Amino acid sequence: MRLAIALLAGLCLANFANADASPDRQWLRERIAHMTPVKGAYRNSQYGFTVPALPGIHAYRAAAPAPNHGVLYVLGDHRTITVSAEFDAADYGSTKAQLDHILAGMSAGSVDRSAITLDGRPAEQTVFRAGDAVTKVVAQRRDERDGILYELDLTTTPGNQAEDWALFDKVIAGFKSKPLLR
Amino acid sequence: MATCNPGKQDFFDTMIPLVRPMATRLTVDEDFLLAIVAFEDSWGQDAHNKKLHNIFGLTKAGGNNLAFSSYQACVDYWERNYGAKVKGIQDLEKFIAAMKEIGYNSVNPSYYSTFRDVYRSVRAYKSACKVK
Repeated sequence: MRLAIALLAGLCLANFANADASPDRQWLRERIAHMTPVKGAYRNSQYGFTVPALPGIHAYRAAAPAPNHGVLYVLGDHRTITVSAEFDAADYGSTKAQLDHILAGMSAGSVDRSAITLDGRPAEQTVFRAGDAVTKVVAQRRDERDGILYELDLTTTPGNQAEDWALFDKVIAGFKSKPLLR
Repeated sequence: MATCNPGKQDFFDTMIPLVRPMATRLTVDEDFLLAIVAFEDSWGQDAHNKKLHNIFGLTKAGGNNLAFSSYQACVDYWERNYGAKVKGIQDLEKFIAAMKEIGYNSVNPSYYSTFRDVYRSVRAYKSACKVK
């Protein structure tokens, strides 16, 4: 009996270890390291915005005491939406320059861009493919105080593109800017 | 070409006396720390952070920014939490790697490339403002 229990326990441990070593679980563990779950809608009073919860989707923000810049939604393996904000401390000065910088950082090269509105204010968006990933970016510089940069990113796969775009559209539609703290 | 203005001059006049002693203790390039402050506190101009004496954008559980009794208390808190992780770093890319390891901004993939630009701005304005 003891031998059977020991064998069963060993088998369970081996399965867990195998599962734990799978690339996808590893990816998730690394992606949400130093993060904490977000329940319900995400509100950021520092940078003045809110985004809705997505039913059935786990969301995370940076764990304290790290700064709270935004929220990460995990849609699936290597499929995420991020919504974040920063002060325009690098003086990009415009949504166009902000998006230029984002795309340069992503080595996106020359891509088509189009106008969009984010909570009724002008923004820019772009979609591009790099390797197996499809990335969609929405950028908006809020011209208040010295400038706040909002950035919404979707990273997905060609196979999940349609369903993930629908989720991203929900986030974009639900994005609301709020008065800044004084 | 950066041109010094009263806001940037005030930033260096206020922040260097706070940040330089910590940078010396940690043997880390003070401009890395100034770049974090510029980024997280909008070059010392964010009214809300000013009220909280929170120059590093530090948060409490729940996500809101922490309130400190003084700027020095904020610097001390940062050093206690992160000092050991950046100690001795003089290279920008190594500093960024340490920030990633810490999880200083684990949400936005563009944060660290923007941080490089903010760091370059700090260097440029520091030179323009003739900061010693």
